[in-house]
Amino acid sequence: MTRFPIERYELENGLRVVLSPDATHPLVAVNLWYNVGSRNEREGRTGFAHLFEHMMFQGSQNVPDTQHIAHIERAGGSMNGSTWLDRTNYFETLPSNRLELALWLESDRMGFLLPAMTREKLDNQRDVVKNERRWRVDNQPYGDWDERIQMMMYPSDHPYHHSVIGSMEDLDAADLEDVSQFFSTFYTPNNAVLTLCGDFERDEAMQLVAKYFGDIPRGPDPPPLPGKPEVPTRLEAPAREVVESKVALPRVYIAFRVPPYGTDLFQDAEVATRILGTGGSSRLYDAMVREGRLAQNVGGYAFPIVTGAAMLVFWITGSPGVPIEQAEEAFWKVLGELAENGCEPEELEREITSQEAQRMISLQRVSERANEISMFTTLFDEPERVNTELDRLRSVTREGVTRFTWEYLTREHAGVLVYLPEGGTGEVEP
Amino acid sequence: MSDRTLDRSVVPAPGVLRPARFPEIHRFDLSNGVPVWFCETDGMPVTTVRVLHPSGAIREDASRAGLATLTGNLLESGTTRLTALEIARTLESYGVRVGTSTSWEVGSVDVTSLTRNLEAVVGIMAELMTDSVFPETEVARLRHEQLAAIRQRRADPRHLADEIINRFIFAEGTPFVRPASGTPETVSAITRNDVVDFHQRTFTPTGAAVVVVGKLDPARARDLAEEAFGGWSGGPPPPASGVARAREPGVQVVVVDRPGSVQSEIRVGHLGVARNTPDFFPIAVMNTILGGAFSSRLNLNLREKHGFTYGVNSSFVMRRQPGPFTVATAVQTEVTGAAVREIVRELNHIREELVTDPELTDARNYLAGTYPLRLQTTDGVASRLSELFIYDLPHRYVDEFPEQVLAVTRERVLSAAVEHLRPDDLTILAVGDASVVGSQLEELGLAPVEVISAEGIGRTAPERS
Repeated sequence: MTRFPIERYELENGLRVVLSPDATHPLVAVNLWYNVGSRNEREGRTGFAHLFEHMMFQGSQNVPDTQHIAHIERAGGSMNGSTWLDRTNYFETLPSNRLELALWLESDRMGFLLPAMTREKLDNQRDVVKNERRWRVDNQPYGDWDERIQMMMYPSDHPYHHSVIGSMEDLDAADLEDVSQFFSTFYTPNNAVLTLCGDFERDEAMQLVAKYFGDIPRGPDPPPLPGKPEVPTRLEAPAREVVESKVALPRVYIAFRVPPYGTDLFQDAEVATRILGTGGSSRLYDAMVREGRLAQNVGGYAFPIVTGAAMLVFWITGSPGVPIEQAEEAFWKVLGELAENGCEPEELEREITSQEAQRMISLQRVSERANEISMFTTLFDEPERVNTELDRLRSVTREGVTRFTWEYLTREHAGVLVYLPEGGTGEVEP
Repeated sequence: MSDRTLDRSVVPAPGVLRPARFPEIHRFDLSNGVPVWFCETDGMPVTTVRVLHPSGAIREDASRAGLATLTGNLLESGTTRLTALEIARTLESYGVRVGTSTSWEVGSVDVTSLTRNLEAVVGIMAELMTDSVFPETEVARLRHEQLAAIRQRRADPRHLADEIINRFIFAEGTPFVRPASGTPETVSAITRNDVVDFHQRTFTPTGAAVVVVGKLDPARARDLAEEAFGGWSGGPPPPASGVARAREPGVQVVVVDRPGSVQSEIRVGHLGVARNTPDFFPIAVMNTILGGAFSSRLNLNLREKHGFTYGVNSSFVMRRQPGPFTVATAVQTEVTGAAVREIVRELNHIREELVTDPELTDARNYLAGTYPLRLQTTDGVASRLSELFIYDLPHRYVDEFPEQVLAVTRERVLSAAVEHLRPDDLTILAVGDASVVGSQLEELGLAPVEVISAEGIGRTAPERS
């Protein structure tokens, strides 16, 4: 079993740093997680964390307008950023002789972003983000499913009630003052984790990190989350919404609130989700797609989120000629069987081997490794988890998975979202 | 710890470059003549095995378009020994999935596994390729799924645009006009006999290759490949079904009407080049400057200057035969005409003037520098080896890639643009609300606007003028 070296330390300003050297390829991944996401947005500013992420690529005091990305591209690197419910991350992978460039760029925008911010840039990126929303959500079949599911699954005063992309009205309302306030509140070294993974020499890397990040002042402690993050880990009453829209086939999303990522119960939830809904040997695929022929496809995903309650979502795309209600009934039957009779030892075994293989394959990339380490450090202050995840998985028992299914995956606690083709009944001629 | 004299206005200089090294390529033949490419890698204990067959969509009959894709998808539906469920359970007990994919040129069956399970996994993979029985019920189910998937793609403006642009770039009756996964008409017509026949003729060692990349020694790789694939036999595959050719010259403007769309999916393009073009490297650098990177002209113009879009890119799809050149973006409905005007302006501009020195240097460094990123995984190395086979490239290509890119000059970029971008032959396609975008495109004065209905595409081929 491959073990990755992990060295964690903290600068005086509170920046947590993790080093994981590996000289296999002459590449280095630099990855930053800021402990801020859409959950931190105040009322009337949904979508702002993500809009702000865009502004982070618009230059900083020593980096002119579009030059952040240009610097990385001309160095032969690739980069991006992403915003999610709990966090925002920024990352680049470069030839290892350009580590210093990446640290210079990241530290300039962590420490010296505001002097470069202008109304013109904000207006431009607002347009870009509104087009991103049109592209991902408004002009895409089923594109608003997560927005609708989040609204259904979390009460209006919970930080997950609204989507990451936010509303057009709120995007329009954002101004430069919001940029500066958000930056000073959340983009502080004490609210971030920096991970370096790849081909570098430890002492030299530590010196460079100190050189570029050491003089950025510590910020105030971030404020508590808005609204009421505490929420029961099961939906109090079943919910259902039916939407008619421009889709070719009906689709049902079935969601459950579950205990947050990081708990033992979440691990049971993850394993149950995969036994039910991942891959050709999964129960839902076999019963509903291969044997039952009731659905075009099925899947499931446990959202690894940490605020109050996480969420588990299954989706079923209808098969032409089959009423979608019939597929939905079959779904409940499969869940009932797992709750009644429990999971098989081979199912759990397959799940562990699959995770071992899939992790080895994806962690070949230094960027994946760096991102996972940043995640474990940000969420749990436990970078070593990159090496112990499988052991944690091995502690999942059949009884745990069965009990979880019995207690959580029931109709009484489900949120159901149904998409029907416009003017349709859920039945499409074959 | 901090350095108080740090001058942040100075861009840090590069340290000493440690060049990336492509692993040594071992090339040998199995006893039945199938060529093997093998690379031993450092790093994680995983291995990728990929088998390429002459079962690409180019060899299917146009009236059965989608047959190659369906045949590939059916490989996990049962062998003489195992049912579909047993296949899935066995593979997943080793933690792997076998991927089958079908492109125009080849079909590929692919697995990445922990090296310790390799022999067992590859054994099953070989069984799927040579011993599949194609049960009638599974053929019917997957044909039904493929038809539903086509319907779903056509409801999605991105996929719809990707499909329709090819109908207007290529000449009627030539292969790339149709989507490789077929149309409702052609897929409905496919029978189990078609599948069995296509499989028998194209899953054949003649024209096939095996690629192995991972943490294992050459002797084990050789034994593994010989044991799994050395006994495989079969005749030559059928020839390619046609030759790619452009439609008649001239500019065409087409709107696929999707009333109420908040965005227009735009595709602008024409016939491109084959992978064996002698201008491969100049085209790569030229396209990077035009629309192949974030800092490209098109993206800086449409996104960073105008805020028309979340992103735009240009690409040459190069196959054994010429594929399409296309610019692709999605813009808000109101600026559809303006966005097309900017795209056409950029296509003309790069043909009229030499690119600047910084543009040239940045693009070369980007292409050469990011090349090693694609060599981090066994799968990435396997893809490079597959290209050597599919496009008949010399082995030295994988090592020389960076230096070839770095040797491209401004003059070569200009001549590549002049020769391979043809503004006078563009097809301009917008999938969007015709009542709004029709007049915007009309005003550009490029060509009369032809409007076709998105509804109609779901049922029959659109009318062509």
